Amino acid sequence: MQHMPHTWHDNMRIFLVLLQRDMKMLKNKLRSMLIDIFITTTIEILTFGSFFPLLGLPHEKIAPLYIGSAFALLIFYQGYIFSMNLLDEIPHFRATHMEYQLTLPLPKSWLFTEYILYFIIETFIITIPVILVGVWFLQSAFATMQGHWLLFFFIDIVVLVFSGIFFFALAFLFDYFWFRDNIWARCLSWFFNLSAIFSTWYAIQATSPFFAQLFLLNPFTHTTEILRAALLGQKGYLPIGWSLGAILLYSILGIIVARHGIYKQLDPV
Amino acid sequence: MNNTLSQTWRIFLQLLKREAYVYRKQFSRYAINYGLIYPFLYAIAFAYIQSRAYFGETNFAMSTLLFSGNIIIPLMGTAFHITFDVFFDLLGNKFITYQTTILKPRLVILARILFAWLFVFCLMIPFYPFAKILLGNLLDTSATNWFYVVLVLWGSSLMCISYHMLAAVFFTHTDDIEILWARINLPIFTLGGFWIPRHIVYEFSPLLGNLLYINPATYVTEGLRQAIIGGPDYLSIHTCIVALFAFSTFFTLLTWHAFKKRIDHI
Repeated sequence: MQHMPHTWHDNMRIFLVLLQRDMKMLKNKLRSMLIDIFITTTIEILTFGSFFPLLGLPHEKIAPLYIGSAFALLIFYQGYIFSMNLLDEIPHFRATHMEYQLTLPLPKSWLFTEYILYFIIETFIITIPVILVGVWFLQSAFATMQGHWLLFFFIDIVVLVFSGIFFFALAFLFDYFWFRDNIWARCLSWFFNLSAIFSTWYAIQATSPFFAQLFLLNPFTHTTEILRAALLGQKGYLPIGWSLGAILLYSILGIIVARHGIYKQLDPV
Repeated sequence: MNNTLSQTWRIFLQLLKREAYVYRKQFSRYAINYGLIYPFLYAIAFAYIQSRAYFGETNFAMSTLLFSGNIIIPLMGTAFHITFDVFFDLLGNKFITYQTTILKPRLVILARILFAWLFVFCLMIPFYPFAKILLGNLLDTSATNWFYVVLVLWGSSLMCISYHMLAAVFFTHTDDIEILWARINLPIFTLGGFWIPRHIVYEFSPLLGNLLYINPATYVTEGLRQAIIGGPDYLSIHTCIVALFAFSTFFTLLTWHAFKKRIDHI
């Protein structure tokens, strides 16, 4: 029988069915996820809105700290969970759902794009309340907000696309056991702690120019700063254009790394 | 009678030896990940950068205050990793059930807890000395009582191990790990003093401040802040040590109960 090449339309049909299936799964676990987010948000609002100011944190630093430590870090943490789940799905030792999906008449690039798209949708749904509720509860801290919500949502999606690619690549790049044992301590904690997540980049520069320059190499510095600039206004944060360029560059690099990882894990011959 | 006791004791020691054999090769990995990387990164991120960016360049007291509680995350992380080998074993091969056929189940659990306690304690000892070397004056140790630091770490390691052993035996599904960290561990360490000491929470809300007495992490961070910084703002060392051992006993008793329910041993 002659093999019929699949058209773009066929691919899209399967892609949408897979996405639909994932959305059904999301519907089932959404309640549990929202409970987690409610707990996290309450604690973050208390910590950054009430406790830190009592320690002497200047009022104008609450909003950028909340965006970095509560919102951006939550996106990255969700990325880590995505990576962990993906790692279990890669057919290393046993038959997995991914193994079945790889047999579908759908190019791998489409299949993995669906994975990343699902991550973006899921993370967007569960992280947006954190910023909306945060801004509402910490009104006085966000009072001088000069950004624009539409711009913020757009930037949020850009950050989610980058995070999806980054954490997807991470799951494919490393050996299963190395990932399980070391990924947080030897990789992610460096990215998270040596970045502008916990302080704004200009505040770091004022404290330590060396670390500020070093942190510019870290994509998480740019993802956090661009979220701050989009919501709070450009003044005091890295220029949006720079950060956008850096995120684009790191996304392309992430795709190259992911391709290498996929080849390593799934095409051993 | 004496023979039985000595045989039980011998098997108990053999189990401890077996644990040491299993984790011997992993010690260097744990030591690098939790004993070196965490203090290095936290010293830079929180003591060197964050505290100076928020509270001023020369506010050494604040960098010491912020950094003193940071150990709670590597402590809980190590305890989680080492005890959750039991969790995965119970989901898979159930090797531990074989051990219960040669030794009383309670003693099997006790052997695991004792070994893990020693293991985690050894890993956490270099945390503050290493950070002191890195930070110099930024970590103000002029009032530090190093004996108390070690003493609190000793009690804290036991508490974290017994707490996570309870979780390892109690939870039955891999999805529960996410729940453990998002719904239980995150509030425990964030409100338990990772950054903010108890008296600040009390200043905000006396009710919340008093509620923190039932959070075991409070005694870890308060004890360490008392040992490192000292002063009337923090709970006394005596209170912290007593509370840490009380929590450890409570969690171990619950673990025994949960283990009994889990494998239904006789």
